[in-house]
Amino acid sequence: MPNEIDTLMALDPLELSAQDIDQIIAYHRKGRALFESGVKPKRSGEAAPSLAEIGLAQKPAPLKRRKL
Amino acid sequence: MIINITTNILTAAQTVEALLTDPAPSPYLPGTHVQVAWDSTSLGYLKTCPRLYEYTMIRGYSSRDESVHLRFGIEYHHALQDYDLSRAAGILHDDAVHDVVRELLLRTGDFDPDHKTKTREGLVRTVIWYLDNFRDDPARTFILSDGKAAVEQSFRFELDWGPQSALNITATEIEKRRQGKGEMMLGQPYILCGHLDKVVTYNDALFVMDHKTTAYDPSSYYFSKYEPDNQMTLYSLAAKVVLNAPIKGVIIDAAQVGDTWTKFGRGFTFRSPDQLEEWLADLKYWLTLAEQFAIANHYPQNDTACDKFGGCRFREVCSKSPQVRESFLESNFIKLKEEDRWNPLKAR
Repeated sequence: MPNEIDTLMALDPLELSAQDIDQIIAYHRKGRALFESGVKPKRSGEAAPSLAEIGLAQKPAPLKRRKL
Repeated sequence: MIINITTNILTAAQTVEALLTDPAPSPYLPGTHVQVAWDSTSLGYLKTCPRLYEYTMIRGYSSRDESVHLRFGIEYHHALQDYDLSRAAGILHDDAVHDVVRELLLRTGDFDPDHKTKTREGLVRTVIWYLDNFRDDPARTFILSDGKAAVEQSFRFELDWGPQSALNITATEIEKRRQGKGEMMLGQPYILCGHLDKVVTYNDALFVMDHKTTAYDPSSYYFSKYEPDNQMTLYSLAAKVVLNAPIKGVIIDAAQVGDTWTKFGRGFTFRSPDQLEEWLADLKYWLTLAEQFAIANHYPQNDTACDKFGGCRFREVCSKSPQVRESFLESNFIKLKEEDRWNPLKAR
């Protein structure tokens, strides 16, 4: 089943808005982040893990130190 | 050994104009298959196997999927060049990436190959990943004395010797020659030509930078095949001649294109002045051989090269009996029109 990027890539390029292009770029940047974290990006149509699922999107919770 | 340097820095507009109005001159002596204008591609064919050279350059046969690799490579280079020119003009990285992707998508609306990895999506991904990966590249684009970025530098220079055939032209042929129309004249020297992707400064030294797309892992083993290498030596020589400055060698940026990922590697290959002189001296023997093959109209097989570089595209042809080869060529390969065949003199 084609995902949103497949739909954008299939459009007449003259119909792509600046936001569409930004979306395409963001999609590929996400794929690169996944790849560099050791997760192989999935083929289009397959659900890829989100950045949050692989711990990249959110800052880790602050450490709670014991009072000495 | 080298005279008459012509640097041909084509702007995008000049390139388009040249393509539309002026057909590229033939790289051969008129009425012959004696090639006088050579680039690394045609030299590579000759050095690999004269029969490969004949099928590709002289007879214009191309495999059906070769055009996918060629188109993918051309668009990849085009996108990276666009980015370099934007950055040289002061445009910020993210804006440059946006513009590059927009133009790439516009140019490749018709690119829908039946290939596992070299797809339009793979092309867009490889461009974006490369530009982000090398966003803060320590290899900086060299700026020429005229202020222009040294990207997509076309070069063309004459050697001080040429084919014997050029001295044996009959009086009738001489009368047929027309001045200034790009046809080879009496006493035509050999010409070396080509295109440098980029010239960069890296660690205070000048290098040519060349971009490659590959199916192979860009490891040290991959880069070892460029020592020695016909194309890298010619590029080092050309940059030295064109810039009239010492060039240390070539930086090779390789992109291994997978189905959903791309992996990058950077390698360096160096050339000393002695190595460049040796390459030029050897070239004389190679081009003399090429002329002999053309005069005899016979291009022998190098049957030790058939399994190199992933296997020659004409291996099945050459493994057939000579009587059936022609029909196999006609049915399994595309025969390009003369104007579409590889021509070192064609503007890009």
